[in-house]
Amino acid sequence: MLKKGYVLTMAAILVISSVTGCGNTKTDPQVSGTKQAQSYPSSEIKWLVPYTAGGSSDQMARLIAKYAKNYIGVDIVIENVGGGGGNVGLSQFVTTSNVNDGYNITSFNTTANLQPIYGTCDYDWLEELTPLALCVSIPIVVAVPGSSPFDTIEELIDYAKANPGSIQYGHAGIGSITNVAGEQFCLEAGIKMTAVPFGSGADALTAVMGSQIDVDVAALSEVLTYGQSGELKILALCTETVIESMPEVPTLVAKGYNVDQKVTQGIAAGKDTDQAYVEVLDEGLGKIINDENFQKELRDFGMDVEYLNASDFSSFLKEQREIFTSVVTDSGILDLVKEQTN
Amino acid sequence: MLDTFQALFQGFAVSFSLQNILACIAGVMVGTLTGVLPGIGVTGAMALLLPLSYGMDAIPATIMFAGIYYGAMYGGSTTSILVNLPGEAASVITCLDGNQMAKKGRAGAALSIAAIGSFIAGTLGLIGLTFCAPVLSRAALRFGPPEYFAISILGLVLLTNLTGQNAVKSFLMVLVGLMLSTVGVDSIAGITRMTFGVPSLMRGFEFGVVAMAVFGINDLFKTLVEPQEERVVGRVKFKELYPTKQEFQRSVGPIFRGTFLGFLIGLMPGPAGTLASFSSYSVEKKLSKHPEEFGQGAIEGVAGPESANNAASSAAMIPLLSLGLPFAPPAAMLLTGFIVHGITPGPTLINQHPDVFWGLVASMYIGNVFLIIINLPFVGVWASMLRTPANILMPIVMVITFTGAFATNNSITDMVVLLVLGIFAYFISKYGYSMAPLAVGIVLGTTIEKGLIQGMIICHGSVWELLTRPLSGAILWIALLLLAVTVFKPIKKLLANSKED
Repeated sequence: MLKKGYVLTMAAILVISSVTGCGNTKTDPQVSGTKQAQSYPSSEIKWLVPYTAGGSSDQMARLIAKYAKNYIGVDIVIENVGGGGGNVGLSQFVTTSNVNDGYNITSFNTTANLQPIYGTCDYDWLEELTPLALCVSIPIVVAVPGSSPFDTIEELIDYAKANPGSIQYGHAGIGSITNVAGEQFCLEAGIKMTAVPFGSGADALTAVMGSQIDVDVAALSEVLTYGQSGELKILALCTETVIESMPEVPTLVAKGYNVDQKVTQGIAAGKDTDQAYVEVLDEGLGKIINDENFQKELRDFGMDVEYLNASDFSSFLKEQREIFTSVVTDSGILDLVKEQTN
Repeated sequence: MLDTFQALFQGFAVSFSLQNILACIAGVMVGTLTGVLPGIGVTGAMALLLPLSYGMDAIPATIMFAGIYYGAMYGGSTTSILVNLPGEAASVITCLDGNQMAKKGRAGAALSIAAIGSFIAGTLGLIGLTFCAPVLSRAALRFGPPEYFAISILGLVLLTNLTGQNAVKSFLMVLVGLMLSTVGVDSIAGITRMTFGVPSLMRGFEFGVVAMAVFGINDLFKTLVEPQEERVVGRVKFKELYPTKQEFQRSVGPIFRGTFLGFLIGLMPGPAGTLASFSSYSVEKKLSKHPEEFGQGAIEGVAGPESANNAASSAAMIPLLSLGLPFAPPAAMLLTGFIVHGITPGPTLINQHPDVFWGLVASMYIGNVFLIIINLPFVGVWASMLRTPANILMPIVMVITFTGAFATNNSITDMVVLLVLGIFAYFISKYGYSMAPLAVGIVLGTTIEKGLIQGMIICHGSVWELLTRPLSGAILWIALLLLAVTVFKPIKKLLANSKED
């Protein structure tokens, strides 16, 4: 009888460990870096997503991976290394020994272009990575609860002018893109609002839904359905163009405030990746992102496509960096972060 | 009310189609497996299965994802009871008495009661979801950061001396837990703290890994180092596998109290499942006529917490389905699963997709029945695992633990953390420090910190406003009062003793 229990246990353990093993760890064949461009790519490409599974970056990566075989010719496998707002995964990526072999790519999001300004990460991702393509951009919006006394952005600005600091706005964390957009809005409109840092956009949304805070500066995808149902009033878009689904919402730019901020999600490779490989990836990713079915599936996730090829994405990032640097310096965000670090 | 019944029956009609039944079974089975395997969290399992659901229709896909979510709460207790290794964060506290019961040969009883409690709590939680979802979710929104802070403080006061051993030692362990929770990038300002230049520590200590270390690995070392008394290997009779009448009677109260408590806590953002199980344990211990049995294998310590975490997972569906707000990472993953299939949970869900909403709710009733049918027969299989000699079982458990720790984040660092904390836990528990308060500290640390920072800004920087805001104020004053009583009691005792002398 002892033997039977033993066998059962072993069987159970084997099943368990095999499930554990193949479910989460992906072993990659080592690929040598001396492949000719003609034969590139010849084996699967590894995409290190520096965010946990399930977030919008992960969703985008998995969707691109789904189309990879058709347009690039090989599979893309996703590995999630989350934490530290993307820093853990990106640090791991740039220190991978074969990072430049063309078989390693990673995500390049807005955060990765912001963090180096604060000095809270070990590398400057703009220098350590070669941009491949921009895929997604989500406008930042200013929203208030449905029960809020403010119906237009002007009313909010007038009130904030008369009562400096009394309006509390929520954002996704000190130095995050929503914080930067909120502060840039304050600078442009000449008002002062109190920033309440939340750990994530979802936390800030919960707080504004419960009227715990007056205003939420958030990514459109997070608040769109609530804007449509009337639970929230979306007062303005922090972009240049209006959106199709809610054409009545004005843009801050149209109102005379030069605030153009969005959450962007792109793709990058190691900094010394062979130019020939970069071209292949640039072209392949471009085809995927311009595929109609891909765009439709991405929209189902609440993300809108904004495509830029490798060189345009690269200049976009440099320009974005300059704007970020001036806003975080002028608004005092940089001082706030520095103060907390020391 | 009548409308609700009618809608629910239509929901049952939807969920009884063959396709939806199969989706439900698949979901709850994967969920159970996820729960059983340490290190594989619900969130991760759902992320892996997401691509598989692309080809499915919206309704079966959402039914399957929800099944994984509540199914995991069933399986989580299994390894806690058998080998003192929490399979899911919400089952950490089940280790205390569940594993003691197993050591006394009552593993079968503990597993059965955990399953039955989960079933009752899951079903009652669903009834709450069916009839008062909109009302409850509105109420939940009245809780803002100051309230989260207040509740966490209350939790800290109530849960510190969970195991009822030396109060000072418990307090020290809570402090260690709170300190560990500050490692990594803080979520407010993005500042890296106490990582000593190790990049992978930036994500902080994963609660699941810490729990595996301080309970599982700690216990493995104990087995390795200390001479073991020969385990009774005798064959367990079928009748003895299941709870006795007396064990049943002792579990009824804890199951219902745990359900109630878990349901309320589940409405709150944050680590609700874990908190619910801790609170239920503490309540049962306070109410018990034999508090000394807790930690030695009291069935109440299994029945209450295991019911509480299931009720919490049902309750967490309420803000998700009626407001579209995910209050915890697995709920966020579930939200993703819905969105992929073109369904956006939120205030408009019930009206726009009544078939999805009610089909899903109905499928959860069915899923709970499946779960108990799947889980009860397995009790025998799992319990027989314990007859494996320690020198074979323990290395296997060790391998699974390390694999699980690695799988949590695909990170070697987590395996190092597992080993180091395990060794630390082994030595420190030799000196009578218990590990449950450490877990409490880690669970509450982040919520306290975030709640305090955000709460203070919302209260315009005034502590007095925090203490006079109706909800947060009331909770904080209760916490302070309890703290005063706790501190005063030993002093009074001391004074009384000195008078006698």
